[in-house]
Amino acid sequence: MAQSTGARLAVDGLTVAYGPVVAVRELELAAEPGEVLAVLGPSGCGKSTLLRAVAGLEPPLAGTIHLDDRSLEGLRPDQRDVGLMFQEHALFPHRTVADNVAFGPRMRGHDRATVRRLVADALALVDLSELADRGITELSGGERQRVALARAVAPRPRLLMLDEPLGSIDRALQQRLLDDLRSVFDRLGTTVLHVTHDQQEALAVADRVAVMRDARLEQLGTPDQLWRAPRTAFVADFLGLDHVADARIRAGRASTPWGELDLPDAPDGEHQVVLLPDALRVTDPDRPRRDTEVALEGRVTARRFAGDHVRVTVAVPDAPQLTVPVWAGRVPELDDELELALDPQAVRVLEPEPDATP
Amino acid sequence: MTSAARPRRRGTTLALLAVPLAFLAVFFVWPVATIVGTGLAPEGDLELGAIGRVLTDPSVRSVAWFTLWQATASTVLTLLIGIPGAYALSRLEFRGRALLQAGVTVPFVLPTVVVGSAFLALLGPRSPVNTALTVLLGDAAPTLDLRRTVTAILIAHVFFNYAVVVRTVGGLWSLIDPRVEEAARVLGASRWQAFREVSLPLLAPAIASSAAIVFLFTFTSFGVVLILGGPGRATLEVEIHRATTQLLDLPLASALAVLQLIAVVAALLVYGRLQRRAPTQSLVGSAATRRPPRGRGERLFLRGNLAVVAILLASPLLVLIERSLDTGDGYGLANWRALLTDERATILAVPAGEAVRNSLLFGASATLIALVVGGLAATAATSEAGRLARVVDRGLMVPLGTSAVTIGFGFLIALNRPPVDLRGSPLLVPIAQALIATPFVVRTLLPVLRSIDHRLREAAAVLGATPRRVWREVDLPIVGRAALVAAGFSFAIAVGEFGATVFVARANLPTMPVAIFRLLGRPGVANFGQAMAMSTLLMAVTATAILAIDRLRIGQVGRF
Repeated sequence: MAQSTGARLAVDGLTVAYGPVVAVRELELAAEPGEVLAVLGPSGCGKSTLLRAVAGLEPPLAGTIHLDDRSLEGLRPDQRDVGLMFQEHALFPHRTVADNVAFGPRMRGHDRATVRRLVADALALVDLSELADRGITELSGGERQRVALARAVAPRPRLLMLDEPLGSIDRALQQRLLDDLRSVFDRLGTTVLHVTHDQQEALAVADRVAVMRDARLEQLGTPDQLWRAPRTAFVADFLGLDHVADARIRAGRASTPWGELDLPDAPDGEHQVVLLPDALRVTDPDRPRRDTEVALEGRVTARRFAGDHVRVTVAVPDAPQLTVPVWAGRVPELDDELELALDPQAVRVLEPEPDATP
Repeated sequence: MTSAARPRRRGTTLALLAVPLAFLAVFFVWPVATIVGTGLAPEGDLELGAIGRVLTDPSVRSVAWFTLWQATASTVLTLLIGIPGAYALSRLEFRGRALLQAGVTVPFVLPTVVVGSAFLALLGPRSPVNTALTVLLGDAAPTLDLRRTVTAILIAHVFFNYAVVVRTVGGLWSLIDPRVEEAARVLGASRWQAFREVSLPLLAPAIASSAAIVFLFTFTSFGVVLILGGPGRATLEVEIHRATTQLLDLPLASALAVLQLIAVVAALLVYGRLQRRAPTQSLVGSAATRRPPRGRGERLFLRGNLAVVAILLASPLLVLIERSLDTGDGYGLANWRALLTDERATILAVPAGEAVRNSLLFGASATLIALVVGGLAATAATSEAGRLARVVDRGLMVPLGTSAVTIGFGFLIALNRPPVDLRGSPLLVPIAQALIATPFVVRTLLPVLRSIDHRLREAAAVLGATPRRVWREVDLPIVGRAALVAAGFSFAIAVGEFGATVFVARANLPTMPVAIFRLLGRPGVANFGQAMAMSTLLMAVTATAILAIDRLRIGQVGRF
């Protein structure tokens, strides 16, 4: 399929409400042309509403949405030239695969030859050419997902939006489809807004990730930026970083339950800190503790086998327990006493949480 | 679903079936067979010439043509008005929606005579429409009088059958994922294109089956046409009635009935075929299918539909009440007082109070008969998973499609001589009413009986319950509520039944609908006022029964 030029999406001050419930509040978000932007958040955070508002399915209370220089204000869904892949797909059950995919090009008034070509291109893109004449009810979950994707991209929208595209598909298949999805995005070259509640999915497909919480944008950044510097405890928790604790910081020194840490650039005051995944390791004679690292003594309370590594839970006196991956060498037994090394350079200070109630 | 069928000896099933089968044989098959016999062989010898004579008779042909085209027009009109209503009630959330959904069902079960009277009051020269016109335009105002016009018949038919379309189509619409329609919109379809290309094909089974039902009902329309129609505005039903009671031409009536039976059976076959195509599994995802109206267009659309409901459904009934209070020179309770005293007994042949009593008595007896016959049949159909169950199931639905007039006429010519001589018996009325109510009893009980998990019965049996105890301890409590619904429904149908009752009711034992019809046939403001008062009373009785049923939330009244 030929590369289509993606449009720049700019969302400014967007507010959407369902009656008294504000689903999206004063949201600022922009996706660059051709960029894959993932919107990540728990269910009910407003991420699906954002897509629906951009598609013209929900009227905004306030704010503007632009595709390049064109304001979408007041435009009906059929006038917006965007593609939307719905959660649970919403395929037309009374039409064949090819007819589902042909719907968009047909509505845009293309002649029959063009429609046929666009359908063939879209089906080839998702590797479904053989199933063109099948009925929707005869398809498996993975096949339906691909039909929904083909249907959304067939009219070559300048912005493609996906709402939990892998949501209704079992875990094993998800991994494979995730790779397929990213390669489809790359071949299309269109701007993509990908909504998901699954952090692995977001980090795997996106150029940048927008984390949403309670109708607001919590953090926006590349997967690496999020992972290296989660802004709040919510983001840290959502990314699966569960070593968060209170710290009192004064003159570059933080007193935490895990001891005194040197954090030269940290501001003074009461803060929360998070340990990044590579902040902790088990020391052994081959790799002794470095001077910059802080030593922690603890006892093994649980071990969980995780394929290529073992996750060892260590209870440290007077501090939250820690979980450390052990990759090779000697895996400690239950109740073993061991020494951990904590690297202060992989400790981040978090911004205070906003009030929990929006 | 795991089969709820209880493995029972075939003997037991047949014993259960004995009563319903005998009832059907004597009171349905025998009368209909007699009609067909009389139609094909008026003098005892097979003489197809009689049918041929009837078919070539220009006046019969014009009646048949009128019957067909008014039914077609009524069906199309009901669909055009009902489908937007179905969308409003199944897709939009607003205050009072649930109440409205129950409310639109009321007209469907209202007695035809009441509906006829109501539209007579609404569309006549003294209607509020004309009052308003006079107020607005003074003496120059034209007087709108739609009585004895096709327009009146069509409007009344839409009034009756609105609920059939709204509930059947709306029922399916609420099973369709709204995102399917949204997907079409995002892909570039306008509202109309999305409806035509996506919603309409998905709704086709419900639209087709509700159209078949509306066609069937309007094709065999009797009470409404009898009251609102006039010369040249008669359906086959009305013609059968006229041939029997005025022309005393039984062969003609029989031939007309045969003609109508053929049409009805054809329509039923089409309906049965469409039913099989209806999707059974839900198409909904996790999304809610109802939401508040958005934007000016949708709010306007909702308001328009609410206005249709108010004007089409509520106004005739309100006018009915208003007319019942109109004494000719101002408002008062004179009509109501006259109903309860017997000063007009000579005109009614009996005091009005007695008509009320007759109706209640006949209605209660009919309900009892319908519950016994329908209950036994439903139990038998549940116990037997095979072909026999299907035959019983279908067989009991046939009287529903057969017109009331055919049943009444059949009673008249078949049950007045040996072997079954019930001539003049007051029992004929409740039996005819029960025959018409039984399909509804079966339709209500069968799904509930089938839904009882067979393992419940097995568990009770293993715990030591005898088969009789199992029925009492397991089936009865579960079915109890459904039986109550069936009883209320039967009662409403029996009390309002007109087509069959008018044939078999004895002159001195009229029911309320028959009394209303007689009152309407007499001149004078007082008679009209009394007819309105009695119609109001009858409406109140049936509406109460139906709204009580809706509270119990079993069964879908008016949904096919």
